[in-house]
Amino acid sequence: MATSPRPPAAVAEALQFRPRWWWDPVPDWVLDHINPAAIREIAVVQLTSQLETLRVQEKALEASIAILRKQK
Amino acid sequence: MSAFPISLRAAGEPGVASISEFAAVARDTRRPVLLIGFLRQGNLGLGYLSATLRRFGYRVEVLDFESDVDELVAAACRLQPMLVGFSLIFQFYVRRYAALAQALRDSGVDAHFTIGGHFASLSSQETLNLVPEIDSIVRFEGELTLLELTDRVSVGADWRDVPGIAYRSAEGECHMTPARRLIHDLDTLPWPDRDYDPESILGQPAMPLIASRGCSRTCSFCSIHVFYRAVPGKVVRLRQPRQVVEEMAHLHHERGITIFLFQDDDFPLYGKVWQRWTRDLIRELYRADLVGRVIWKLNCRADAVEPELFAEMRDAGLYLVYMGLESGSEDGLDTLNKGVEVAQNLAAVRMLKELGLTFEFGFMMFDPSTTFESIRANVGFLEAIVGDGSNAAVFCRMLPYDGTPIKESLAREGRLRGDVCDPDYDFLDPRINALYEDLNDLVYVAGWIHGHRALSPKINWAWNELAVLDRLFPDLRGRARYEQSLRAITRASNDLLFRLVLDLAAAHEAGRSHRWNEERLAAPCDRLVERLAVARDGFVARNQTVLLRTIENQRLAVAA
Repeated sequence: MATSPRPPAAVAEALQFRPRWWWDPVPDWVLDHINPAAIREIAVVQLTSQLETLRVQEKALEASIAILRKQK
Repeated sequence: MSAFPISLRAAGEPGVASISEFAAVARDTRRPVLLIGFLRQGNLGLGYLSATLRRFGYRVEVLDFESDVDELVAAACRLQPMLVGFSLIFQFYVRRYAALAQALRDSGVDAHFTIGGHFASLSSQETLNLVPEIDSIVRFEGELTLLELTDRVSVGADWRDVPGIAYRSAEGECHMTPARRLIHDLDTLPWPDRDYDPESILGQPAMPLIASRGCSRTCSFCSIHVFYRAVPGKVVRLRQPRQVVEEMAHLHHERGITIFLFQDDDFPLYGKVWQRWTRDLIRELYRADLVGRVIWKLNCRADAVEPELFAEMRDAGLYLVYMGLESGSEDGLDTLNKGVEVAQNLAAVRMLKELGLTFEFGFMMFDPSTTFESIRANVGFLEAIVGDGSNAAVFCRMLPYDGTPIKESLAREGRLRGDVCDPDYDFLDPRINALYEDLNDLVYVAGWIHGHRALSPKINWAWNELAVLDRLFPDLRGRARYEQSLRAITRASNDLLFRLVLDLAAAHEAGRSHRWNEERLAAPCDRLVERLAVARDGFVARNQTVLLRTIENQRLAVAA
């Protein structure tokens, strides 16, 4: 992870390096608030919920197949 | 606050149509109006709304949406506003706005809740569904609609026939009143309120402003043209150059602003009429004695860049040009409906370099038409424009936001994915989906392109600073050497980024593994950030006395 540059003690407050890119604020906000560990955690949550959805869909499909077989 | 009165548009349009009619409207200004929005960039939209309401006697509080929810709730409970206006400028915030509106209601805030912005205007039904606590939506340009809505609410009158709004009918359906015309003469609006501290670059205070509203183009990924064309009225409206410069002079003399950031949808530069307008603006800047005292940045397209006019603008203070280049592949430019060719993008960059103007650009490496071939074309294009280290390469993926033509076309093709807060799509080649995920994880997680830790924007900020140094400060010791260092760092960063993209693309195209990982990227990224910090801070520290003295002298001159 890249780190913020260390301003040497010699640089006055007014002249310190303070990047602000107001034309692209959104990803800044997102990544300022979450770190790589959190990104992975979110991915785990997303995949887990996807898995859960697939399990429910699988059960529903099995039920549908059973009904269709009975009707046959 | 401006001395200019608000006058309203022609007869025949819905709603109140002249300033005298507004003046005669019954209103009760005892309870305040609370506006909540994203303030980090100096929200000009909220500034215009607030200034318009204040002009008619309302007390307006503007709060930052990024504040803690408890703080916002406490402020609303203390203020007891009659109306709360939410400014939704990023559609993926819509659920956070819903949560905030719910929290306000739960705390007993009984005000009328209204919301505005592109998403709310173009997807009103969805907004009402997603934000159940909202009473109404102020659609499209909001100044006059919000004023009329506030007037009605303030005296307890029925507001459901105010032109330009949407609300939930008794049956729960979205009901829209007739659209309000676009404001024809922007100079009749008061100057926007700017009750915040300016951003600063090397101690030089910067403020946003606009010279126009609207865009004449029809890019498929953008909702701006849809927003302005959805209602009656002239799409692109230009302020009078003299009025723009008066606002700049006011901000310079009253608040010491030396950097102006034009946030126009597309700065008016095309054709003889608009070029004459720009030359008038330049003349006004000289007349107001601002040339040499202030500098400015604008946003434009590549096909607007023309050597003679840009040289005149540069001499009058233009220091930074942001261009929406968007793609380096003909297919990509066609898909995005940019109406330019790759050669025009290349020519624009070449001209700016020849003129000695610093530039930045928007670039979508990935769009719905992306193929492995277009990725290579895009990298080739980026190498052609910034391979010399003149700027750090940045890129993103085009996202299908609400109201954009491309969202509609992706929906028709069955390729639309995600939801309102995370709109997305499938590429035609599934291998590109995997490539994008891989690349995204690497460059984002390693902190390269986005975020405050990111390398490319840091480098570009350093170039931005250098352009400010060249224009607002005297010659500095070691300036040429610093530029060389910055160029070397930029080139190294770009080389690594291009190699990464090409390697990943080749690996995914061939279905084989690659050698890149977070750790492998993070180490050189860190080293480049460190080199940048040492070069930049060393240069600034060596010239600190001159820099601080210059800033102080400029302040004294402004105060005098």
